[in-house]
Amino acid sequence: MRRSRRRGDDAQAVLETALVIPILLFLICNFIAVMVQVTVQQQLNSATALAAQSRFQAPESAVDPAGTRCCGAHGVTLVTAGLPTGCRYAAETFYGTMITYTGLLRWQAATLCTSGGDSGNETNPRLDPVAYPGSPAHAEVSCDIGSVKAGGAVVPGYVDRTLDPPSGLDVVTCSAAASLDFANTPLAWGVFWTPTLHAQAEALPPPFRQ
Amino acid sequence: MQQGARGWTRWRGDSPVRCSACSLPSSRKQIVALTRSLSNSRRPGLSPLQRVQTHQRGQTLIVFALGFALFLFSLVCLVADSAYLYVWSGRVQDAAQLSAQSGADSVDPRFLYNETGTCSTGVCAVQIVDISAQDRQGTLYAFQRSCIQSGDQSAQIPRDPDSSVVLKTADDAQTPEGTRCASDGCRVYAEVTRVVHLPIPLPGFPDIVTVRSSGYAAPVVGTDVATSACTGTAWVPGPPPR
Repeated sequence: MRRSRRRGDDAQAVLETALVIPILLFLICNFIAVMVQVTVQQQLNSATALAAQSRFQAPESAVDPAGTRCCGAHGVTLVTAGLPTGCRYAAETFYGTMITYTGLLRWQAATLCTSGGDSGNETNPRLDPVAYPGSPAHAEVSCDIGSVKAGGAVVPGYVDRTLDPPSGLDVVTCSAAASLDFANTPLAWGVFWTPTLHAQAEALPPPFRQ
Repeated sequence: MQQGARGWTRWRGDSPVRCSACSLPSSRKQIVALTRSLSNSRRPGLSPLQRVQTHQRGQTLIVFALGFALFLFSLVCLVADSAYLYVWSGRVQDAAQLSAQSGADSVDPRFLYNETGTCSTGVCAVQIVDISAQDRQGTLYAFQRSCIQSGDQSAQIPRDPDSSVVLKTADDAQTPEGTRCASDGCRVYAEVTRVVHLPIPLPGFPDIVTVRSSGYAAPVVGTDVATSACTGTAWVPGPPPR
């Protein structure tokens, strides 16, 4: 009788363990996934902000010569010949900053260099930016920047009318979006969500460029 | 029945009764009678000693449950607050680096080249960062304006502490949280301070923590050959606090 009671206790312990362990593993997987998501979001914010800022490290009128390619990170090759050098600087900064967890990211393709967006206000309509001629359309980051052509013609950047209203200020914006996919990781066992991460940053030009 | 310091203690109901004159039951008859009398108490089948142990076990269970709940709650608070602070310290560090870089990018190359152009000795002790009145707006130098603006926006420093919708700009007061930028003429120093409200503050501990970080950045000179040497002696608006 004592032996059967002990056997019953053992069975109960096994059953309890079998119930508790999956729940614990599920919780652990989701904790790790949240931690990864926070880290990637932070990295994405930094990368876009630094990309927008790095545009100002190139002269306004500098243009990439023929044959220029950029980035090279995780197999990405973007042809930037004929585009503003500042745009390539932005892309290189972005790809150079996004170095961890890149295998988990499914990027939303974007046009690398655009110009002419407008945030809009009561009197001015909101405008979407347009792509620079020849700009790669499968980049992971998109930067809206202004430049000066060889003849002196000014290509407008993004006008943010919340700054210096109502005329606004010509700023540089960079944005990127990607979904975090855990499908090819062991976390897929307990993580059933695929968050989409967005980041957008704006950099004000220095006074001598305004 | 149990032995006390002196004599014997008998149980009447739940109350012990000390009986100094009592003696140990000696015969089998007495033991059986005593056992029966004890068995007729409110919880038949349990001896008084067992009943006391059972009550103590219940008390221990309650104390353990309360203590463990308190411990778990503290642990959750600690983990949540630590994670929150970790995230914010990273953000503030990024903001400090970005704001320093932004300040360094505000160097006007024309100003720089003009200064180096007037030097005749080959090595000029000029300021790389524009700390003259040129491009100065209000009380802020050109590099400060860009630096503060970037720091405030990147660290998401709210203009109103009760609402995080509108962020601070360079024209707002940078206390108690905000961005402080200075330059020694060679590089830009930025210090970003952010007041973080803990999500689950531990009872008895402050619910506000100030996170601070700093960054340095040098401007892009833009020449192939170094034509100037920066002395780095003139701090504007003042030397860094540490």
